[in-house]
Amino acid sequence: MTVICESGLSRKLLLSGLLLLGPGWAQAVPGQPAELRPRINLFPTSVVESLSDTSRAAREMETGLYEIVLKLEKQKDAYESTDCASSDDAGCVQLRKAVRGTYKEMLDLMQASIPGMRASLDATADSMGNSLRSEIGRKMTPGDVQRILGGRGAGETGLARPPSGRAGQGKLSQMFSRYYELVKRGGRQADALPVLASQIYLDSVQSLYFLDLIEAEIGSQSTELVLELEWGELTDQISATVGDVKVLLWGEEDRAQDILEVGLQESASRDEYRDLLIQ
Amino acid sequence: MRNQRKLYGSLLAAIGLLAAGGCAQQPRTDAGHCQLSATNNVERLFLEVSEKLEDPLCHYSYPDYRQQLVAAAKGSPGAENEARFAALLRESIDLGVISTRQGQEVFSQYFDPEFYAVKSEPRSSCTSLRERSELEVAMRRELEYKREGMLEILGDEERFRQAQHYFQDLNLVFDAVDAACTRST
Repeated sequence: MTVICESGLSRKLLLSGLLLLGPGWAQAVPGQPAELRPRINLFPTSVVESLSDTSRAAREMETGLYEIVLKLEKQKDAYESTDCASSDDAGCVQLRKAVRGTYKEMLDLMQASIPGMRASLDATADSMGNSLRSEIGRKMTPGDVQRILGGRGAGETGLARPPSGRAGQGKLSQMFSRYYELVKRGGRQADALPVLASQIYLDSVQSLYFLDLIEAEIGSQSTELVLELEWGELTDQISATVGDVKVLLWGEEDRAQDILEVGLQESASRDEYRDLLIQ
Repeated sequence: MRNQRKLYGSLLAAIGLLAAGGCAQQPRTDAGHCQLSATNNVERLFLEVSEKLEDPLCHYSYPDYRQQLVAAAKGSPGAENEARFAALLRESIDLGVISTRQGQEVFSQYFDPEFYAVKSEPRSSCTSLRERSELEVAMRRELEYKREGMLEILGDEERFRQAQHYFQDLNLVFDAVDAACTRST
């Protein structure tokens, strides 16, 4: 236990912190009444509206796209399982042509949907980012955030926290629709809101990132190029684009994790040690 | 001349005696004086430390005592260890071995699910998260202390799980706030 010798700076920070925080913050401890905890308004009307819009835009984009991606997957599986990559057999040529046709169909649909989806995601990321920046970034210290998270009562299950990434959540539209619902009914569980807001913001930014990737790939694979390559091999670029579309729609499999309870069990009363705890 | 020699001789003798007397007043430096016995009995070890700390000369051994106590408590985990450490920290504060803040810091780092490194940051989130990596390192180190304190010393899995949740949730929020603050600049 060599903590004391390492902690000179932390002590100075703490002393300044205690002076700056004042008595109002000092009361905001786990189990305290809500009115004594730091107040937060992370979801103004603009955020709620943009969440609803994003959910609708995602649903529009998804219409038809799932079937195309599934069809493409089946065709690719058939192509790979029959070793068509190194064959000029008529069946294989036909299968390659079919894969390219479906692929082009997917690109066209994506190209048509991306502008609306991007505008909506941009609005969500911007409004959520502004909210996080002003409410938490500028008005609060990291310690205030911790106090808010600590406002969970005993045995409270709270909001089911959306898992990182979208594995298990289903469609992109469902994810944003679920966020919309959580935000609408989440007002009573203020302690969970920073986590929810952060998840929404990070998911919006990540979705925008994949949208950018897909758009760049579509741009580099013009329709002409796809047609020209009708008789050639299926390229890694095609696989990469399909992969990105799948990640955008279904999320990354390897980021799957159990849904955690946001409302956590309060530990046994620690009144006995209150003098040894920084509040 | 002869008298002068006698005087010098007396002076030297007096200085010698003073020096000898002075040495007798120096702190005892024998190895066994402040050492703890080689017992694994946690309660006895805490009592021993408490007794040793009554002697200000043993205050220098405080870091060693803590290490030994932590090691012994790990060998006999249980909820009662929290009270033992709390009592010892209070006593150490009262005796002036450590400051109140140091006592609170150690206790929080080991036994409080919330993060002392986060509590002690006085700046706004946007500003403090410019040094996000330092905060993350401090939190990660503190999580190690909490693992030692809550799991190995207290055997309290639920409390450690709570600390892990704090760690996870705070990092998620800090990721988002850091990105939001950076995006605006």
